[in-house]
Amino acid sequence: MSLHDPVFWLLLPLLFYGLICGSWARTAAQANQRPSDFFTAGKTLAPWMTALALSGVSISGWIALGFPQSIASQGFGFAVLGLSGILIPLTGVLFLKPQWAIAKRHGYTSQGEMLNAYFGGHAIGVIAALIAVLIAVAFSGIQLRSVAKLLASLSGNESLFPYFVWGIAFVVAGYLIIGGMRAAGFLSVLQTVLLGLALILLGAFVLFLQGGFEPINQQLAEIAQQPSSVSKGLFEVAGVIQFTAGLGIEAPIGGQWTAVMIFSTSLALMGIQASPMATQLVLSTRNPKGIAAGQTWVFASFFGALIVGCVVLVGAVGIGKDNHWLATVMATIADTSPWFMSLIALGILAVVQLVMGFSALTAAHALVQDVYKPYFHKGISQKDQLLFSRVVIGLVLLVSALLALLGPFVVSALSSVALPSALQLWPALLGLCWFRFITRQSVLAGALIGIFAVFVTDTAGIGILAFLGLDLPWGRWPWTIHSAGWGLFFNLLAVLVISAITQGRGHAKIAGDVRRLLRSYMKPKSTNRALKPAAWSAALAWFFLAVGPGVVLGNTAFGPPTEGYDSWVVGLPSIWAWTIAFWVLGIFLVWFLSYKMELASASSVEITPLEPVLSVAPRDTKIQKQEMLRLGWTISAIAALTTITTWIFG
Amino acid sequence: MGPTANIEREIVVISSWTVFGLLGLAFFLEGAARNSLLIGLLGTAAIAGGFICHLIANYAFEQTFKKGEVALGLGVFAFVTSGFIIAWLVGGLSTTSFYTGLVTLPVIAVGFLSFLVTRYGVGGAFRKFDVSSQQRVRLPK
Repeated sequence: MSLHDPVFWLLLPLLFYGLICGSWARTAAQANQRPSDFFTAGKTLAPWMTALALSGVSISGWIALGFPQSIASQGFGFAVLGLSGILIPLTGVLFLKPQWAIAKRHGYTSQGEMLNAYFGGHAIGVIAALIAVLIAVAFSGIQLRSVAKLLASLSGNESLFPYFVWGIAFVVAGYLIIGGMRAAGFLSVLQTVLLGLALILLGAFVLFLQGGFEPINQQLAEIAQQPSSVSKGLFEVAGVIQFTAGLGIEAPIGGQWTAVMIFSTSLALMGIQASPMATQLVLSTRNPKGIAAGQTWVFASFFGALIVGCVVLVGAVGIGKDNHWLATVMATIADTSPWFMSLIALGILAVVQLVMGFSALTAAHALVQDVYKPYFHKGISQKDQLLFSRVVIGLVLLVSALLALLGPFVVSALSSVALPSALQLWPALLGLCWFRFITRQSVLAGALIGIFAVFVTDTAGIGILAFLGLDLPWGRWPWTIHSAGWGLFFNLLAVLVISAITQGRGHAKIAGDVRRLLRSYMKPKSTNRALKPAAWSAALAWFFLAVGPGVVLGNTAFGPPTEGYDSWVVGLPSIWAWTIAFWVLGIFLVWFLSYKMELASASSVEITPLEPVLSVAPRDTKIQKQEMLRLGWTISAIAALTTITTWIFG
Repeated sequence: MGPTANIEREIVVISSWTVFGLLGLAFFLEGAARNSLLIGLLGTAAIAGGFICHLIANYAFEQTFKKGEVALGLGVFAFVTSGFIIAWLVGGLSTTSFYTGLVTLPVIAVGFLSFLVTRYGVGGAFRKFDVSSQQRVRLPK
C-alpha cells in the first residue's frame, strides 16, 4: 500500500473517526444515569448540539449522494429543490418549539407518546412508530447502500461493498447500543461539521478542476443551446403542471420538473422535520434556545448556502455527463489528491451514520414505548424497556443493512415513500401544536388515507398492486404531482371533513392543558402580533414564487436559457440565479418567522412540569399471560401471512 | 463547571482539531505534491485555526488547557519537529516542504508562547516551566 493508494487514505481517517466513536460512546454511557436517559440523553443535550444535529439529520446523505446526480441527469428544474435549505427549517419553525414545551410540561419522551396523550388512544402512536421504522430501515438503508458503493468504488475494489455496509452499520450499532441518544448527540457535532467540510471541499475542487465559475457557465450555456437539452428541459422548469398519467405510462414533455412537481416534492422534504426522529432530537435538548438559531443561521444560512452553491454546482457540471457523476468527481480528485478525497468521503459517511443513528434509536424507542408496551406488556420496567430497545436497534440496523445489500429495488422503492409518509403526520402536528379543531378520528383517518395515497402514486405501491394483478391506470407521480402532494391532499381533505363531524369528542383530557400552555408559551410580544398578516403574506408570496407556480418566471427572469452566455444577466442559468435569490429571501423569511413572530425563539414563559399522576405501580413487571398470548398470536399471524404470501407469489 | 460542560468542551475541542488537523495535513500533502508553498501554508493556517478554536472553546466553557492536552500537543510538536529535522538532514525534503516546515513550526511555537505570555504574563509563563523553583517551594521545612 503506497502513500498514493486511495485505500490508505480512506482507512486512515476512518480509523481515527472510529476511535472517536468508541470513545464518545463510552463517555455517553458513563453519563447516562437512568434507563430513561438512553432515549433522551436525560434532556440535557446542549442547544447548540441539537441545532447542529438537526441540521445534519435534515440534510442527510441524500444531499451529497443523490442531489448532484439528480441535477446532472434531470437538469436545473430539479436544482430548485436546493431551496430545501429553506423549506426544511420552515417545518421545524412551525412544530419543534411547541412540541418541546408540551414534552417539558408533561414529561413525554417521544412524538408518538405525545400524540397519543393529546388525541387519546394508541393508534396514532403506532402510525408514528411505523413511519419511524420506515425511515430507519429504508431511508437510511438507501443512503447506507449508496455510501458503501461510493467507498467501494473509491477503494478500487468493488468486492469490498458488503464489508463497507456491515462495517458502517456495525459502528453505528456499537455507539448507539452503548451510549444511546447521548452518544448520537455527541457524535452528531463532529458528523455535521465533517459534512460541511465535505460539501465545501467538493464545491471547491469542482470549481478548481473546471477552471473557475465563468468557464463552467460558458460550458453550460453551450449545452443549453443543444437540441437534446432543450427537449429534455434541462435548463428550465417544464411549465406549471402537466396532466400526464405518470412516469412509466406517460412521460411529461420537456422534463418532469413542473412547478407543481417542485412544490409537491418540497412537501416531501418538509416531512423530515415532521418525523418522529426530529421530535426525538428536540425532546432531548435541555432548552429550546437552539431551535431558532439552528434553523436560521446553521441550516438556512450556512448549509443553505452550501446546497444552492456547492451542491448545485457539482450537479450542474455533471449535466450531459455520465450516470455516476459523484463517483466520477471523487475518482478524479483521488487521482491527484487522495487525502482530500478521503476527507470528502469521511464527511459523507459521517452524515449517513448520523441519520442511521438517530433514525434507528427513534424507531426502537417508538416500537417499544408506543407499540410493545401499550399492547403487549403494560407493566414493563424501564430497565427492560432499555434492554428491548437495544435489541430492536440492532435488529433495525440489521434489516437496514440486509436490504441495502440484498434488496436494492425494495430499499429504493421504500425510501422514496419514507419522507412522504412522514409528511402525513403534519395534520396531527398541526392539531397538537396549533388547531384544536383537528380531532383524533380525523388525524387517524387522514394519516391512513394519506399514506395509502402516497403508496399508490409511487413505485412501491404501484409495484405491489401490479404484483397482485391490479394494474393501476396511472404511473408514478401522475399529473406531475409527487406522491407527497397526493398524500397530503387526501389527508387534509379527510381531516377537514371528519374533524367537522367529530367535534367535541376527538381529544384526551390533557388537550385543554396543552392549549392553555401553548397559548401563553407561543404568544409573541404585543409589538410583534401586528406583524402576523405580514408574516402570512411573506410566507405565501415566497412559496408561490420560489417553489410554487411562480417559479416558471425564473426560467427567463435573468436571461433566456437558450440564447447563449452573453444573454445571462448574472452569468448563471436564470433558474439557478432565481433559486439563489429566493434562498436569500428565504433566510429572511425563516428569521422573520423564528424571531420576529417568535415561532422558534425561546420564550420567557417558565414551564412548570406537571407532577406525574400517582398510579399504583404494577406488582409484577413481567409480561402477563394474556399479553403473552396476544403477542404470540400477533407474531404468529405476521409470520403465517408472510409465509403464505411468499408461497403464493414465489 | 460541571461534568456536562467538561464533556461539551471536549466535544468542541476534538471536533475542531479533527477537522482542522485533517485539513491541515491535507493541505501540507497537497502543497508537497503540487510543489506549492502557498497551498502548504494553508495547512499552517488550518493548524492555527484549530488552536484558535481550542482557545475559543476554553473561553466559552471557562476552562483552560488540560494537562493531557498540553502533553499531547507538546509531544506531537516534538515528534513533528524531530521528523522534520531528520528528514532535512537526510535530504528527504523538497524545497517546498522545507520552507513549509520552516514557517509552520516556528508559527506554532510562537503562537503557543504568545498564548502563555498573554495568559500568564512573561514571569508567569516562565514559572510554568520553572520546575525546580516549584519543587523548592514544595519542599517541607
